[in-house]
Amino acid sequence: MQLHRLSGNRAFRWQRISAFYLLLYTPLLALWITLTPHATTADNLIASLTTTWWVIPNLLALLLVITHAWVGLRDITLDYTPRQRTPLWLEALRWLLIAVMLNLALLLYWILL
Amino acid sequence: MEFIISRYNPETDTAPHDRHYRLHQQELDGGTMLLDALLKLREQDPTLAFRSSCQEGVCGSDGMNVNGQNCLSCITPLASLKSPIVIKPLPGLPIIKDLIVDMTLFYKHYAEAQPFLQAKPPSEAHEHLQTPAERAQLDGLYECVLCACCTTSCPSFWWNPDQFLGPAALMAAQRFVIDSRDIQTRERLQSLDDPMKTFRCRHIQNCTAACPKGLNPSRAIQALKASIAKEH
Repeated sequence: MQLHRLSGNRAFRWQRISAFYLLLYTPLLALWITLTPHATTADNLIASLTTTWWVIPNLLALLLVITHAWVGLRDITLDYTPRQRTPLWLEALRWLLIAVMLNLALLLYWILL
Repeated sequence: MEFIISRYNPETDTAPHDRHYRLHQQELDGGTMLLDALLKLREQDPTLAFRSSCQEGVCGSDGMNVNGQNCLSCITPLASLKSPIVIKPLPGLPIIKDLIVDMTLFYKHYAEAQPFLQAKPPSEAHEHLQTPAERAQLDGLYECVLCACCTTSCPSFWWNPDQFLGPAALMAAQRFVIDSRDIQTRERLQSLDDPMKTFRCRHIQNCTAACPKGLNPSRAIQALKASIAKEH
């Protein structure tokens, strides 16, 4: 990955968008869990959070958490890795992201079907 | 009053080292600034090197790190400092001698921000005019004296000194981005849309805490980032 191809503002915008969404989503999720009487076991909790109108917000939150974490990890990589090896570390980070997404897709497939 | 001053002479020393100095209370009055004390110490030890020029906080030449905080010695009251006063050169820049640092990199980044007006060709009929509101937007941005107290207190600059422009340069960039007379706004923003030049700023706010003129570079950089994001 070439450093000069990295965007500054695109990462900045995604970080802000994901933070804003999670700021709204997290309290709502906490409220939902608190007010759901049967969410005392993991199975019940998963069942209540995979109801039709919770699936999309949950998936979106998961994707945005990963996006937010990716921007943070990219920043850490740019700041701390030795300059000659930064492109290598960024490439490794990209493959890690792809692996996480694949893993997540498999997990969701397993949960939803 | 005790002073611990970092000394370094590249011709004789391999690394900076601390030297202790003392000034008697009778030599200092209530309004003594740190620079006055340093001038007295230099009478004791003429080899002590530091920069100073206007001695009233306008030229920005006497920036130094005092008790862990960057400041201008000429406008820092001695009474506000705890003894022993530990004085070091501005961090993150190469030391030339004692408290004198090499500002070449700082000025290079400042030049990269193109801190000059790029307006339409001047008309003979009238000057480039601004409304009072447009002029007021520049307040808090143009007063920088280029002392480098902000940039050298910034961890992002310490990590990437050759690539991150630093708070002073980015605040200067923002000053011309929002100037209503400038016609190169888009080009300026495009050149600043870079993960290293601009977006290394993590808003740690050391710059704002260090600015001896009471400016807020962190807020200026936040506004600059928002302008870059809007532009795309």
